[in-house]
Amino acid sequence: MSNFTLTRRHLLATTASAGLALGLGPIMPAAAAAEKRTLRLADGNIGQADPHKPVDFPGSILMFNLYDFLVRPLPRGELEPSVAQSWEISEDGKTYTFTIRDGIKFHDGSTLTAEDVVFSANRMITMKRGYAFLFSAVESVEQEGNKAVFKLKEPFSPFLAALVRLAIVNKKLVMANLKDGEFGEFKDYGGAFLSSADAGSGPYRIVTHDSQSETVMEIYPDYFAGFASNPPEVIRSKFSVEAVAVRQLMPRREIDLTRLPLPPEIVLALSKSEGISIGQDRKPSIFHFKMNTRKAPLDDVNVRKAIALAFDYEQLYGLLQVAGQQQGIPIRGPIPADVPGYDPDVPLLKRDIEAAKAALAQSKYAGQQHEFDLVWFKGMALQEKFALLLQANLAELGIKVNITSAPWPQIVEMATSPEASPHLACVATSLSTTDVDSMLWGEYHSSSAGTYLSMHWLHMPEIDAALEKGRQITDAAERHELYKELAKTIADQYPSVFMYQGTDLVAFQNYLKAPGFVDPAASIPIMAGNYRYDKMTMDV
Amino acid sequence: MTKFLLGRLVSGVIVIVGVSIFMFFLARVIPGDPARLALGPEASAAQVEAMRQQMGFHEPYVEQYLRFVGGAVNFDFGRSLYTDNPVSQDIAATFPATLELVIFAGLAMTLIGGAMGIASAHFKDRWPDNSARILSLLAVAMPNFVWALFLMLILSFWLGVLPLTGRLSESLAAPPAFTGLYTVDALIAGEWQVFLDALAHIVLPAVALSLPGLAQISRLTRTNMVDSYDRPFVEFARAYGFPERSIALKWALRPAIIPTLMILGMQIVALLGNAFIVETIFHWPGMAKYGVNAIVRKDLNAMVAVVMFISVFFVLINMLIDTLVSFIDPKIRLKA
Repeated sequence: MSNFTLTRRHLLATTASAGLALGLGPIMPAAAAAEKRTLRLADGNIGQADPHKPVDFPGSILMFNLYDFLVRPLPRGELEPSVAQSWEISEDGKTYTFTIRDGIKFHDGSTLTAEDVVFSANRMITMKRGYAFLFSAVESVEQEGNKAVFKLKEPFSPFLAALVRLAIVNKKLVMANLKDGEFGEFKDYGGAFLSSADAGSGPYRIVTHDSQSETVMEIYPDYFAGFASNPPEVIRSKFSVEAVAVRQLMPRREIDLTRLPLPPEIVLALSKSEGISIGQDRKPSIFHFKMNTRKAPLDDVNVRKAIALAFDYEQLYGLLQVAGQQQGIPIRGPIPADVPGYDPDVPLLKRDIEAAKAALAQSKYAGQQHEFDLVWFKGMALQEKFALLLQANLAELGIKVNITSAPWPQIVEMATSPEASPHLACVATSLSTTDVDSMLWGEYHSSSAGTYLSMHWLHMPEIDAALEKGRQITDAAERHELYKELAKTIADQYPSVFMYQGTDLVAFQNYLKAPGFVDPAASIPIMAGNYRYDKMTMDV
Repeated sequence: MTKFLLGRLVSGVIVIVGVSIFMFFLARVIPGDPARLALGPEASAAQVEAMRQQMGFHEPYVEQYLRFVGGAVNFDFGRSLYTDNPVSQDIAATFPATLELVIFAGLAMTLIGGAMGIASAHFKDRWPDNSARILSLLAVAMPNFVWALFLMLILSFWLGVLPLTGRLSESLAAPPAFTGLYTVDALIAGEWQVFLDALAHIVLPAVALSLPGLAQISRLTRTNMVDSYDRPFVEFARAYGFPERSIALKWALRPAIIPTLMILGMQIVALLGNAFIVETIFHWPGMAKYGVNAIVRKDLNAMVAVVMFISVFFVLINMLIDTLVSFIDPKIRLKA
């Protein structure tokens, strides 16, 4: 070994230096503190910037902050005039005339006019994407001076609420940026342009947008409706962030606000971190076990009633408690709280195993052995706990439940026919607008069958008739009574085990004041309604 | 040599065509209507049908496939149902981030793994060998997402010496895009601060990604080198008094490196797929995460395109490795 030049020291030194070079690298200081008030949002999904395409949460957040609307939602589902200074509805309920507010400027400095409103409505309806289904009753949209006139094919009372989803885009800017496409003279209707830029007049404007990783927005100081005091000046929406990263980034103040499902252990850990609070986003959604009413023995209402009565709601509420916060509140039927048609006098369903056994004994399947398939969505771990709870509860009735989880595409496929739908499916439903019709129509009208919303397959002529009537009536009090009655009709059929009204837990830094997450009276009951950055204050 | 390369090229093309057929049809038979998934449950039947027409889903599978192939050769894979961007644009935006990660992880695997293997073999059954064995076992036994969290916790969260997530600090702008690899582009532009910052960001994800492969390379190099040391030609070299350095790096390592290289090729391509979890944890905007999200959401065009892209990468890397091996071992070249 005397002439051995590849010494241990030599080899170890080489290995160590390679390790250091690649394994540790240069030690960098943290990013310099930003000069502007910067809000960093952690979002679990990716976000589309075109306001007429997405129907999801990140897309809605971008939509509400980059664009303006004829009307905006308020707490308790009320609507406030926004771009529309005022409006008139014809006596037959088929013509809506909106007077456009003067002096609203788009982000490029041009003035927002009725022509832009007409263009935006036609763009959404023609492209048939996103929330276009809310405007299926529209026959034509025309400009009359500073007014935009919507003519409907038939009276459609949810129309006004649907307008909270009609983002107004800058026609000139979009038309100047057309690419080849299938919409005739409108080519691609600006689809390529709006996928990475904005043409809005909302409180924020896009600086950069990458739908896979991050959108950076900056404040638009000329926003006509103004801001809360000390609003965030720069927004960095980070997409596809995992809860585990949030757990590490939030205590280091690298994330200010969350918008993704946080597992209980992470909520607990964050709640114990200094300077971080947990709030609630109360968007009206309902978690169900949908019962397939076309599959024996669930085609018998007594069996469905027995299942609903056997479920242990109290234990469920216990599962929903995390770090002193509730991930949901009890529900009294198919309509969430604070939505027209909700009846606070309806008693909460409670577990009553004797009543459940009695209902089962009254069914045409009395005395038979039953075995059900229950499917839950693989992406939501909490649902497995609900499934196990129901499984244990039904075992007391002698019913065997086989639990399986499925990825979302498979659940969508299962929902296409009664035969493919399982006996029990754990799903959530919610409102698209502030109007109750945007929830119930998709779930219970027979024309909407075949989606996960209606995996109960309960379709009855009287329910269809009530839903259709609800679209015709314009008087709010009359509508409220109609939906109250409809909720009772539906509840009496036991199409679901109505488990609870969902509440998303949100983590935020204490220097961020976001009223919608802390004060139920300030909560805007629509998906992303509480993520209006212009309503937030940053005391940094 | 030309015959050898041509043979590899033909087999590569067969693999790519086979993968394209398999993936194209597999994507269409797995459950879930992609148009309904993209538009949501409340979309009207007319909306869903319009999207099916727009995406060409109503055409017979064979026609759809031929249209897909026609587009793919021009790097046009249609639009993503989820991002609504052309898939080629999404891939072009995300692939450089993954490639940069894979290059750094591949370098770590080769240099650190190789050096550990050589040291282990040379100091067989002594402390460098034993230490390397323990490290390798740890690296293989724990999946890379555990390593990712572990490294993140220690070096970023507790010690705060490395950044937690992303490719670059918020205060810095990305360098002018030339290759899409931030470290390389920053060097080209002479932006040293950006280069160091990008390097600091890539260290943890690259190391976490490389560890299982690194351990495998280390163990394989060691085993084969130990085997080489027992062969008569090493004894012959020693008898002739060649220096130990030359014996280790030329006589023992050269035959031992061929299986390592073959595995390295496979490992580097596997990194593309395995990068998903690491990209997710470190919020790394790469193609692996994009591909897995496409599969979960049944984003047909995107999932087929990503798999095709990885296949082409696989074929190219393996051709490169085969060529390299044929230079090291003339028997392989001559046999071909």
